[in-house]
Amino acid sequence: MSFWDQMQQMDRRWIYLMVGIAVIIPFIVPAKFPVSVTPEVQTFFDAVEALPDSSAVMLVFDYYPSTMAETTPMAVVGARHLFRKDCRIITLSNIPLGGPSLAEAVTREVAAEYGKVYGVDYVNLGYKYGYVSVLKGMGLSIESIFPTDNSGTPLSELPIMDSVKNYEDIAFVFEVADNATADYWISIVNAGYSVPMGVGATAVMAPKFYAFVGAGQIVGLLGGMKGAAEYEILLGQPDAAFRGMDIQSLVHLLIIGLVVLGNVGYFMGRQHKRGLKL
Amino acid sequence: MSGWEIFHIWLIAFFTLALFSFLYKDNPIYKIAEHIFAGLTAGYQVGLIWDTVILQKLWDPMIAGQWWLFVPGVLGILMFARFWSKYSWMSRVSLACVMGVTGGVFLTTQLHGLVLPQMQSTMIARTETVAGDVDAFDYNLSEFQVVEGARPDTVLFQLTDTVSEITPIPETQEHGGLNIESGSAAASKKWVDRTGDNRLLLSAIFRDSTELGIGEDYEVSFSIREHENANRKTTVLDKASVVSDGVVLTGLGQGRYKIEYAFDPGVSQALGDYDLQFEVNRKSTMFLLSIIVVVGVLSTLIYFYFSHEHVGILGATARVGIWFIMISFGAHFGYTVMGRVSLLIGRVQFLVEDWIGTFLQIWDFLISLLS
Repeated sequence: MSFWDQMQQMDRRWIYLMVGIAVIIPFIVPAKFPVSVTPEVQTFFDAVEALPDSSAVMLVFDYYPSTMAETTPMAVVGARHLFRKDCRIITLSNIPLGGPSLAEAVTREVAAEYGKVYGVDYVNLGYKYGYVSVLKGMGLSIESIFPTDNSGTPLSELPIMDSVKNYEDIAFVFEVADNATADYWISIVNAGYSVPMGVGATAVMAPKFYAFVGAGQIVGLLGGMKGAAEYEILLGQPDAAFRGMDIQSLVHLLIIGLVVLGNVGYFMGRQHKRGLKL
Repeated sequence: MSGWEIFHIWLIAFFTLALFSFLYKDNPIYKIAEHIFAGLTAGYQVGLIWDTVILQKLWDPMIAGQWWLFVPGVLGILMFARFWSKYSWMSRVSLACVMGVTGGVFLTTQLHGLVLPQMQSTMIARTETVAGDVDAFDYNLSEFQVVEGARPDTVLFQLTDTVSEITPIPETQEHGGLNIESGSAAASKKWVDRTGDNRLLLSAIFRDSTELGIGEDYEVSFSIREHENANRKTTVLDKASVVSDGVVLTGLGQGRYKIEYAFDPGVSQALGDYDLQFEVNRKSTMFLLSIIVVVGVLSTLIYFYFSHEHVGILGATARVGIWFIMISFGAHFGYTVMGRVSLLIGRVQFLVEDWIGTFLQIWDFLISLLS
């Protein structure tokens, strides 16, 4: 059996081991690969930057804990940018498993950095079942859909909601999603109520959302951890996503190398078999 | 870090490593973690639906007097009729309601929110702002007033004084050779019926010191906004493109252009001060990209046309479609790899930064116990 045949039949666990080593190396020796900012992230950042101070913005946590490595950095950097601009943040989730808890954890952590007060500068509306009726209903009245916040306090007792009744009072929607709810925010809230919005999507979903950026339905797109890292750079606060980029680049190099090796092996192996037949 | 937090981190680390152990081979530890995860998820979901739907949306309002909610309640119960073959037909009533409502809601939202905008975007040639010194300007005319008209339901839009100098909006400084001509901004001095369809004519003249290049064009918009309120939500008239929304651009020769817009105020047009904003962008049509998009869409659609054998021109076009589909799959695959690696990074970041970080604290705790 030739070298190339052996490579073709390599146990996949060796590849897992190589990926594992590639992930751990940058923790020990940071490589500092460059991270460039894409136009989709730049326009997203510019749109948030252009919001008037103290605008009411919806920061939507439509993601499950299983994708938080990609999505939480987006939510964190978004909350930081909005609080830095003194915007009022209204969080909610259409995801029952973890969405409201993640919203609570992220906003409380970031609010502490900027000295923001719950109920005045931000609120967590929590989760309500049936995202289509929730999104449509908030166009008439947010309070009719969410009579209380996530911890049961009536919205009428929260000062932040005094001037926020429906989408008319929302300046921007910052949707962080790992599923199809982002489509409904675009088709119902953006198309139906003309609320400007940007989407932070997992990398798996990102290619689909380029079409929405191209059509002008969303102002920008954060695609996966890379998108979050770019936003962190623009905000001048590199954090978890930026730290992950070294690992990401190294693993990508490894995978590219393996793809090349696999293809070379395939063609060399075929050539070797032909040689044997002759 | 408290003992409880350390225990919490170790619990997460255990389940993370238990699930990763499957990479080596299937094993009982992995099975335990998998079953606990599935059980917790199902249990949490049932509890959540019970609380947020059954209690909050059905039972509590019914007890409070909204008795008519028993109708959806009964429809919900009918879904369980599927468990008995004799009565399973009854569940079709509920399913029919669900499908009817879903179809009605989704038809309009999907059509107007996704299908039509995407079709429009595919058919309209894409443009980009021309890079370089000459690209765009934004101007504000303050003290643009709307006052009571002579007759009921009429208003008069007027510039309070002759505008001899127009300053660019601070955050969007004037660029290169594009600038608006002093004293050229005007609003037709006539009463406008708020309930009728007669219109107010807004106009301004701008100059461009450089000639338009091949494929370049201007995109003009007018906005009327509440005075000194930059919030776009209060914009009375938002972006209007040259062709579709009635903004007319006329070349006056020697680099001078007149922009005009006929504005029909709404019935609710409030009196007061407004800012009138002009914006001109110098755009370049992205011919090549537009052609690629159109060819890609058509050839991909033809690939999925199965009512005729893919031979001849149809076959050749379908083969082009396959290339576009494969490129799309490639982009999806690349992003998927990135996504999966990101999830791995998240777990490894937790193990290295949080879990291993607790080792030192446990070591200190053990030393303090021994001493």
